[in-house]
Amino acid sequence: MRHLIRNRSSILNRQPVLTVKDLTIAFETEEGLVEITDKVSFEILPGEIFGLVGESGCGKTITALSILRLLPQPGTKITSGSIFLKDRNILSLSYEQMRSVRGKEIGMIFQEPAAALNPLLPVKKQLMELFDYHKFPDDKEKRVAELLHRVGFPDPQRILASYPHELSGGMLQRVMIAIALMLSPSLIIADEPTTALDVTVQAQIMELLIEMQREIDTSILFITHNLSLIAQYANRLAVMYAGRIVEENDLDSFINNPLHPYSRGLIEALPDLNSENPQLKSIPGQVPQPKDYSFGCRFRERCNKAFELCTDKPELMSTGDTQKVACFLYKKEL
Amino acid sequence: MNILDIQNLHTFFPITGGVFSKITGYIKAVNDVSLYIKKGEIVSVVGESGCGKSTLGLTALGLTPASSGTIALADKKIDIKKQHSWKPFRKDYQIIFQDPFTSLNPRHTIYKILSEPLLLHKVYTRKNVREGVIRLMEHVGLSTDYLRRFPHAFSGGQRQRIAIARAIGIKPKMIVCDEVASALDVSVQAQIIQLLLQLKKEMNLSLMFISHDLSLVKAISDRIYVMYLGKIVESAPSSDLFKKPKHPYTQALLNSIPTLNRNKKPAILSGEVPSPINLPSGCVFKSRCKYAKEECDRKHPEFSTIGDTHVACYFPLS
Amino acid sequence: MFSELTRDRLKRFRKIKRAYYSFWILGIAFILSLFSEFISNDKPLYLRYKGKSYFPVTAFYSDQTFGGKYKTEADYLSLKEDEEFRGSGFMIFPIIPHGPLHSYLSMDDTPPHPPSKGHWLGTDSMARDVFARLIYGFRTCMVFSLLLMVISVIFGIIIGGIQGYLGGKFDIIVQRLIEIWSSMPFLYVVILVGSIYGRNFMLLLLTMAIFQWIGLSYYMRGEFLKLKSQTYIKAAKAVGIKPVNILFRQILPNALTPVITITPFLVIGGISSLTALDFLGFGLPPPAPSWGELLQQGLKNLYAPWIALSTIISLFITLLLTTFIGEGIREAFDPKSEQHIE
Repeated sequence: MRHLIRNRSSILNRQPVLTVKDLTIAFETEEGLVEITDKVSFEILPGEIFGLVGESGCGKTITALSILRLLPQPGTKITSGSIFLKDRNILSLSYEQMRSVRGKEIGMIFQEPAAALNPLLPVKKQLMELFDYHKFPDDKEKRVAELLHRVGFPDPQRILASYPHELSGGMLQRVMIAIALMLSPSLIIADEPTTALDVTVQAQIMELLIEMQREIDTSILFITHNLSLIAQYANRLAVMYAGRIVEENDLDSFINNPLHPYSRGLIEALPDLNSENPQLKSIPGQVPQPKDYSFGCRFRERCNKAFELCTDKPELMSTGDTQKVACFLYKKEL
Repeated sequence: MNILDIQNLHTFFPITGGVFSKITGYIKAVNDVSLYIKKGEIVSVVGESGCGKSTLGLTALGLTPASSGTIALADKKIDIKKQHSWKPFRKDYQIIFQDPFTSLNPRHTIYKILSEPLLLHKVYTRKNVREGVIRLMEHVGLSTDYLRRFPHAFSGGQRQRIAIARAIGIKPKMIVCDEVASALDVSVQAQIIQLLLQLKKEMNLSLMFISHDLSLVKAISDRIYVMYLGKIVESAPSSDLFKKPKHPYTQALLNSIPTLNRNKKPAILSGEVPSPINLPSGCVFKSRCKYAKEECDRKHPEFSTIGDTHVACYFPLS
Repeated sequence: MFSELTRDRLKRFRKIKRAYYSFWILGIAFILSLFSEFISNDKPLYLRYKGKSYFPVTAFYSDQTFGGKYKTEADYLSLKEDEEFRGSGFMIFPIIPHGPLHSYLSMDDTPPHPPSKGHWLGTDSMARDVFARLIYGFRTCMVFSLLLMVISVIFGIIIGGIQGYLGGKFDIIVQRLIEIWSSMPFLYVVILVGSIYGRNFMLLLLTMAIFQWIGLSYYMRGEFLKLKSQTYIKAAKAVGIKPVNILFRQILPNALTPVITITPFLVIGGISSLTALDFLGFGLPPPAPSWGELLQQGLKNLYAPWIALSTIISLFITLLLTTFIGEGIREAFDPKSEQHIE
């Protein structure tokens, strides 16, 4: 497998920015360990926007947190797997080394920008602190002002002087983007960056994010439950369901021909704004909780194509150059 | 017959300060809104967060005090200054809230949550209420094994079903659905909407759908009201609104929704919603409107009628 | 009877061993101390005289009953030594045959007497048995702080709850009154009330209670303010449930959580304040057995370290156990441990 990855990247002649391999994260509960993710593997190439889509509780956020080593402690732990940032194993870094990775090499944008900033400090102080920590050379103030100007504030000084609660959600998210981009990291993790915002502001923020991504030539791990957003902005995506990646695909091929029955269900569940007579479709049943994860394929109970084989655990297998799916429907074709 | 008729409704929240909490200003959450819902109709109120759509729903049911205006329920005028004037209508008018995780008391079992309103409104007696609860749960597609469980044992979709069961148990005539699907996962959203539509048909309900999601609303509504900053800016039958929006805001809202189609990028509406405390003079939307002209500064435009559409704009789109 | 939430919390509390054991130790000690008269007393539990049975702990018998001269209560300790009594009867004393008020002035040396076989922890400066006084002192202390806690909780819930539920003008006015009230110097009030009405248990309890509920009412007010805007309360209103039922059945049970987590710390506060007041001499009137008074004696008689040491150790253990319980409750009720997997 390792060999395969190297082989592929040598074809593309690009080393992945991030390689997550067989990542299993578990919660410690009174009844013992409960696995939230099960051998999650994916890689993100330089300059690409990689979408990770899934419903609540599927393990997408916890995967993102584990990349920054920010898992809620105590109570959560990585039980197996590895995370490589270029060629460094993040899981084996010391605490100090990890701190310098955060912000400098990996930037993070959260769902709730208001919660990510200290409410008691003015924006300026918080930005400066980051610069200080990462020993940014000279003329910090000028650089910060430039950056804020760049993310769409015509009057950066006013923003710098204000406290987080004085800014709207959209403005805060701009500040967060500025912070995430400040040190030109090679990877940005954006976890539901627009979910807390209004639709009309959502487009502004997404456009800004994409624009900045091109400018500093970084990669984005874009985590969301909103398939339409992924469709608009990502290059490649992985679909997560109940702690597992069930499909990995190129965007065009995914939209036109989703492989996994769950992916198809998700696409069909989106109400189509363009159709004259839109239909509401849903996937029967409920999204399972980690403690209820069953054996075999976890989508089995909700799947209309389920058959005998589905009581075994499906492995993620390649069905094309860039397509992978974890479903027994594709077993015969291989 | 109009099951709900609201005329010139205002709901202002005072902002207080100082030791004796003097009123220093008002948040104009609902600002001169008129709206009606006919019997058996599904009417949606759409807008961004903070536009006052939820307050409108709460005020209509007397759960938030109104400042001025008139509200008539089933053609009977309500004294909006008195909380108890809604009391005789409690049974007929119900509400389902957005967040199924907070709308159920964590300390009550499902049985208790569902039986309480049934007993209160004497739909069942103490003797046969159990039977009623079981029938309700079956009606909304919940297993009756869950009777003695507490809310936290359920997923979001199931909790929303419980909330629906609580609302329909006392056989109301109208239900206000406040963002009922937005806290749910995409794959179960439609289940809940479909359940509501099915119940609507069976019980001849009228529904007031409050939502920020235009694409969801499109599939179900007869008529749609679009709200911005406490005011209704456009109202139209569903098909007209989506085909030819008349208000620039409606158009912007429609265009900013991302779709799966990569060739149709979401359009950007510049700026953000201004604060509802200091309303701009003139048209409320003018600060973000790309068609804004001098006239828009004068005062907020009156409604004009174009076909079946009512629009509050000096220069409605054609 | 309990909701699942409460049952889960009890289960978690039971898992926190330190707190769980502390709870049992302190609980048993407190219940035992309620029967102090049967554990430590200078009166016998049972007395047999001329073929008849007597129970001096629970009843009054005059000296004449046992062949003496006086109508006053029999002095059982001297009766024990009496030749004539020995011939016609016997008596069984409790494990610790000393009362908290009995002075052993007939002993050799001057008091305080060091620990000995007869007096395990020695005697105080008035030759009273220290162990007996500790036991009775513990009871006073616990009963006092538990009662204080209950009274302040009741006051706090009612006033804070009404404030939070009604809100508006009422809330603001009451809040200002409470602020004025709470700025009154507590110690002066205690001294003043004590000097006017005399010092006694109930009066001291009430004086302290009228100050202690304030802190709690803040919590309750906050909880009620928060809970009344919860969606499920709105939902209850929407289906037409009466305000009284909303208050008692929907809000109150949910608002009690923070109260329960504070109660052990209120008890700690009660114990320390009573001890401090007794130490300063503004607490319970002598000769009531109390830890504060023992501490003061210990301080005055530093050459008799058994007084101070045994009191300090008892106080320390009691406060430690209560703190452990408090910690355990706080942890068991911590909403963080109830979070669901996202």
